[in-house]
Amino acid sequence: MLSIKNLQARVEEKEILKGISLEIGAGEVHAIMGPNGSGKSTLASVLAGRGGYEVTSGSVSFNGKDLLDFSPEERAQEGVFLAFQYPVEIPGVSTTNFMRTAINEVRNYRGQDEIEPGDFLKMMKEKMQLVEIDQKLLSRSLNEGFSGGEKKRNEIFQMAMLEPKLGILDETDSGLDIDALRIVANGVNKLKTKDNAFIVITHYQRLLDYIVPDFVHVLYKGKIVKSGTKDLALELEEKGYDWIIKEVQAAAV
Amino acid sequence: METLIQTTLQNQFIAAWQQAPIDVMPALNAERTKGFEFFMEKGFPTLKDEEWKYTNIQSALKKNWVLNAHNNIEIDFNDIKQYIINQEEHHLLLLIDGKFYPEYSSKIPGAHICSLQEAYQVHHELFMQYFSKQLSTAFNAFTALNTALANEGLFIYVPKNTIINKPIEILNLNGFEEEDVFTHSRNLIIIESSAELSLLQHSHSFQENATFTNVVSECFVGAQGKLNYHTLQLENADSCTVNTVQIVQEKDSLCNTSSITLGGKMVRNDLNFRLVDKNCESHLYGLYLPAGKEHFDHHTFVDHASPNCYSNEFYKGIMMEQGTAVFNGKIIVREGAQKTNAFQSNKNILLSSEAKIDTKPQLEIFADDVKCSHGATVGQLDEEALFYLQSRGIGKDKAYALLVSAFAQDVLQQIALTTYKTYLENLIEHKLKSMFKD
Ligand SMILES: Nc1ncnc2c1ncn2[C@@H]1O[C@H](COP(=O)(O)OP(=O)(O)OP(=O)(O)O)[C@@H](O)[C@H]1O
Ligand SMILES: [Mg+2]
Repeated sequence: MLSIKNLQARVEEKEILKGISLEIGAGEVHAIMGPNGSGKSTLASVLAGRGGYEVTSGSVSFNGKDLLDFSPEERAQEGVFLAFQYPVEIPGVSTTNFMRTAINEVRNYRGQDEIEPGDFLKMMKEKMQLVEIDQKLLSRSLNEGFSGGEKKRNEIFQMAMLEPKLGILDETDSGLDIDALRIVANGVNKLKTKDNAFIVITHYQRLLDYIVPDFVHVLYKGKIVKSGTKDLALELEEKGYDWIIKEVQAAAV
Repeated sequence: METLIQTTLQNQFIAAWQQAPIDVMPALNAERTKGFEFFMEKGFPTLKDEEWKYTNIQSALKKNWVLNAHNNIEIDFNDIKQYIINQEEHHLLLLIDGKFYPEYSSKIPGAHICSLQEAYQVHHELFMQYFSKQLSTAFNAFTALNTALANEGLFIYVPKNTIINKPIEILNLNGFEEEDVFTHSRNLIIIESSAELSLLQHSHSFQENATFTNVVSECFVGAQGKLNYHTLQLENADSCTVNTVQIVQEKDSLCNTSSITLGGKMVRNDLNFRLVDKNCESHLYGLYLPAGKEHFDHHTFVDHASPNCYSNEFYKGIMMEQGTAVFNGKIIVREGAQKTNAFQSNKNILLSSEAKIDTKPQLEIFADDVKCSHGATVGQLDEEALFYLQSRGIGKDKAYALLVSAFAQDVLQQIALTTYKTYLENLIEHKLKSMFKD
């Protein structure tokens, strides 16, 4: 589904991604872990098409198409979804209104008619239950004055509404209390099918107890320095990153 | 060339003044003479004039304007229907190039409505009591000229304790003449004590030719009276307007205004409030969206001349393409106007590097026990927000339009007339859409 080959990217003059290669197949969940500043969010941003990042080499193919060639909205329309680490507050736009617009834009791209108002409401209701989010929250201005946890829940709600092929969750677990974490994780699990895939960026093993990854990768200084199964996450939880960093340094000598 | 054209316009004013039938509204002659002499002495303002520093009126005058003679116009109602917002929910008053056409207007129970000249005859005492009494004829060249030369306009009188049941939609259609006309028109609105009136005035160009409209409206709100006054300006990109509104509020009165400017080459609004007695409440909302080469200028002045009054002003601007705007908001709290609450805020976004806003909030306080605040901001559209919307599949143009409409929302939501509000939302969406299309 997603094939990243030797991806290098920089912001302004700073090299941040220094050759990332990653293959993700349909039905898989990949966890990406790694110390602060290692480039996890940058990778997510580059995949979603945020401005300001310059890809200096490498390629990203998504279902056979060159993802880097697309605008951010086209990527979303093709089925990429990024749950933001820091969701933006947008005064004056309600989540409901925003979601209706987004869904219709995606449908339009796929050559479908606008969604029927009744169907939209039904869908809203269904997805709201999935992430246990309150209607009142959704009629307010998008993320404005939302608590940290509410914002994250709203991200997953939006993901549920848009039913992406590839969901990228950037630290969706940070800022969530234990109950919210379980709810959000359950939501993701229910959205999981054999046809879609998820990249879960996290610092904590805790989330991976709920969303069980098929692969765990460690990103360090812009490179994937180790990959393994879910056991790798357990090992990291126990021992931290030091031993991996030492391995990397030893290999470099 | 420039001087030649202006001389031509000036010659037309002189000719009009000399030919003015002195028997039209003879009791006004002294005031009119004052106005004309002021204009002849001072002339139109230039960029050196502090109040006109950012609005180049000279360049707006630079055209072969023909002074409007206000001939009677044959109207086919079918041609104007499309401009009406809602004839069921609103009473309708039609003004063509500033002149009132009663035959196409509603009869409004409780209100006395007629042309300026008829008011001079029929409501002579009342007319003389209010006409040009609170707005200084010598306010500027435009008000001076207007006092001297305006013979047409609208008179609305709502007597004591009368509540007009529906909002009055005043439709101003301009540009019916063959030539590019320069028009003076004058409105007088009197709301007596405990009377209530809602006005919704919107101006459009009827054709493609340019018009220059110099309009002055004087509004008086009696004790415990209530006035809602909404204005929308949407003229073509060649037309100019100088619109001066003077509102005087008596004790315990309430006034809500909204000024929405969506179209015109050069639009200048002067909105002046005088709170002459205790416990007045005034709300001023405004929204301007210049694009292309449009220039919109809002000057407001709130004169807190009495204690215990409250004024709240909130204007927002969205400048696109090479559009430019001016906001100049002045609040004076006079000596003795204790317990005044006066707030003002002006927020702007620039959507292009060529767009421009000059904003100047001014606050002068001569009383010590007051609560006042003012502030202005100028920013760009939030790139992060734009990316957020795009990342959900919303195209860049639509995302832009969504964010801009969202920016306008907190002004629009202050408008209680829902039909009018929806009408405005559609107009704004339309303007933005045409803007962001590739
Ligand atoms: N716009 C930018 N300008 C300059 N440096 C940037 C920019 N964006 C990211 N960086 C730098 O790139 C590096 C990687 O940042 P990134 O946000 O990808 O890390 P991360 O792995 O997501 O970290 P965290 O775990 O703290 O979220 C950091 O050193 C950061 O300071
Ligand atoms: Mg990060």
